[in-house]
Amino acid sequence: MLPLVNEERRARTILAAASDVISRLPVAGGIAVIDGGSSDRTVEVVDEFALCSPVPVRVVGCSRPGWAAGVLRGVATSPARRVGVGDMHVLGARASVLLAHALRVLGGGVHVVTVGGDGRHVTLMDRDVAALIVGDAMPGGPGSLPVVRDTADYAGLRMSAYSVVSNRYGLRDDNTDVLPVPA
Amino acid sequence: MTRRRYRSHEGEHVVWLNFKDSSHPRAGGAEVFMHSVARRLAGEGQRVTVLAARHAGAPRAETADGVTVRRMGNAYTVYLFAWLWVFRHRNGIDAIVDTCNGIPFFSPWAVGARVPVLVLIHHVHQTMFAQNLPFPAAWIGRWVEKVGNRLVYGRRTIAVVSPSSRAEVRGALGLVGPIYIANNGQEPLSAPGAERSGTPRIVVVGRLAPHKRWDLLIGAMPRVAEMVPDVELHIVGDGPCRAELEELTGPGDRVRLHGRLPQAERDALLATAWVTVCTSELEGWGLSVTEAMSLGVPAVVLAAPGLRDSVRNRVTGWVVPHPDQLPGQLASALIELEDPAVAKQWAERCRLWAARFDWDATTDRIASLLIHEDCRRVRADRRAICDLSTVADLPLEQAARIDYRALRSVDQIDWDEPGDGDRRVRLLLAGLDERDALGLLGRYGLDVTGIGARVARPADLVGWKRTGGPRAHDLHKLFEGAA
Repeated sequence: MLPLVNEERRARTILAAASDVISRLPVAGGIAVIDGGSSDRTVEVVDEFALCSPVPVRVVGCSRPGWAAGVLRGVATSPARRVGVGDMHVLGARASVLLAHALRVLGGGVHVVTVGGDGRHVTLMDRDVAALIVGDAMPGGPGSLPVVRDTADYAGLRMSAYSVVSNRYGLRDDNTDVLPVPA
Repeated sequence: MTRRRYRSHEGEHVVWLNFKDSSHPRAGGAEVFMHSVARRLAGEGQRVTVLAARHAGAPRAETADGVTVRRMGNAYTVYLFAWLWVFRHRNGIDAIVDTCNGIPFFSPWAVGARVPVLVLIHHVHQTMFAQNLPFPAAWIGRWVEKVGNRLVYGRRTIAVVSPSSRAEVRGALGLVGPIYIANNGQEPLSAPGAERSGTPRIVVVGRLAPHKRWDLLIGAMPRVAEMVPDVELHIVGDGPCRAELEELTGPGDRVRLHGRLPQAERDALLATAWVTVCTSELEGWGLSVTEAMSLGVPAVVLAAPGLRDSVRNRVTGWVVPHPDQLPGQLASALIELEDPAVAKQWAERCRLWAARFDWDATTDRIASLLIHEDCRRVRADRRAICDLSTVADLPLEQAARIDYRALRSVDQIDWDEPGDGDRRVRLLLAGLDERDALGLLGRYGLDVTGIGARVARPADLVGWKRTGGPRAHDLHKLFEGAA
């Protein structure tokens, strides 16, 4: 999910990084660009990129302001089982390895997986969980971490975070299981 | 409660502030825009007063085509005199179009919140101030255009002439009001009897000014001639760079500078062209390009603001991303147009595209934006301003069920003409995303499953026929009859 507003100059770089990573993942994926009302040519740049992109790119609009509203709009219109938020290029050269690992963890029954560190990360989530987490927290941008609340809505939700900063020699697994609230 | 002042009815008084009028010796595109729209508003029965600077030999006041032109002050003092005139007559004014030619007229400070003020910006002057004025004046001009505009006009409605101008107004000036596009119209050119030249011919029309960069085109000709040997270039127009350009062209060269030609002669020459070219660095709107298209001549243009809007790449011409690619692209265009059948298809597409720009549609848009600004003035909308628009594409039968008076004045309507096969109607819904647009149409009782909705691209924002709201009272019957 890439909410963009007036990013005519950076759009191609952002899309190239994302499509490069997604095309090397072991699952089929695509990019949803959510235009939050660009007055410049952001959408035209996306269209031009889509013509030669290795992965499908679609554009949806969002008239509500804010990054979170854009992500929610993308999630609501997405046919995907899992969605990711964050800028792929912040993960550097290991992005596809990290995300492939995150997908394996998601396949193992975890609902939210965050990879990255130092305030720069990408979060993969089940689509329904993304709507819940983003809709509740309404974060301001891709740099914010998912917040799992201690409420019944989040019962049974499992989240894993993998840091690439604190442990340079490998991935550190830090699981958080959210349990049902006792009656 | 504040009462509505402007509903685009007969007898309402519209004041148009512009620093030149159309009789000014240096009148340009902005003045043609003003005069064409003002004349049509007057034709609808509205009183239109134009306030402009007084040039040598011009009377202080005159009425032509129903429009009263009042001239006062010179190029600098007109702002003060016009402001005082508006202040004195504020109770008799129903709407103001305040043209920002770099320096605005600050009319909101004269009329307060009692009169709707539409800000009209043809293009941003930030770089021109630095090019044309010395240090303190250039700095003051830039400050007034950027900060002054923002302070005075606040969230008032802004009209611009192209998507490129909108990007500049948002980006370079940082204005916060809602921005809508009211594209230029044009009078279609005609050249009876003129036929396409037998040899590859490029004809360009334009002022020989530095920012037009005709030197790039002349410089590209030797390389074009390597691939298209019998190519010829005709340049029509005059200006400060003429001597410099003549030096670039040798005797017996394939480049010919005609200077200024009478209109009939110019149009006849233009109609013989295979292609026209515009190498300008900056245009509010490429009028010379769309005029050539009305004669069926496609264009090769650099990807400059304004020109990218007037040419649809690979549909009505070729948009060249970088000047280095101009010779190659120009040669490819000429080679593609060698086949008369292909050239005919290009010509047909160009004529259809150019026919979309007429002054009646521009007048409708300006009047509707004034209505919208009046509504906003009376009942301020606190929702976030969003530059997003959605194009909804629906079959004629569905379109006939919509009451277009209930649409907002900022929404626009376009439709296929009879003979276009399966006729469709398109709506451009400003500030709405696809979900909002389908929700709106669903509330009209339409079956939204057959309606396509997509985010409008910059190219989708120009060339609409009509606007919604009170001025669209006849559209329901029109579509009902057609369906």
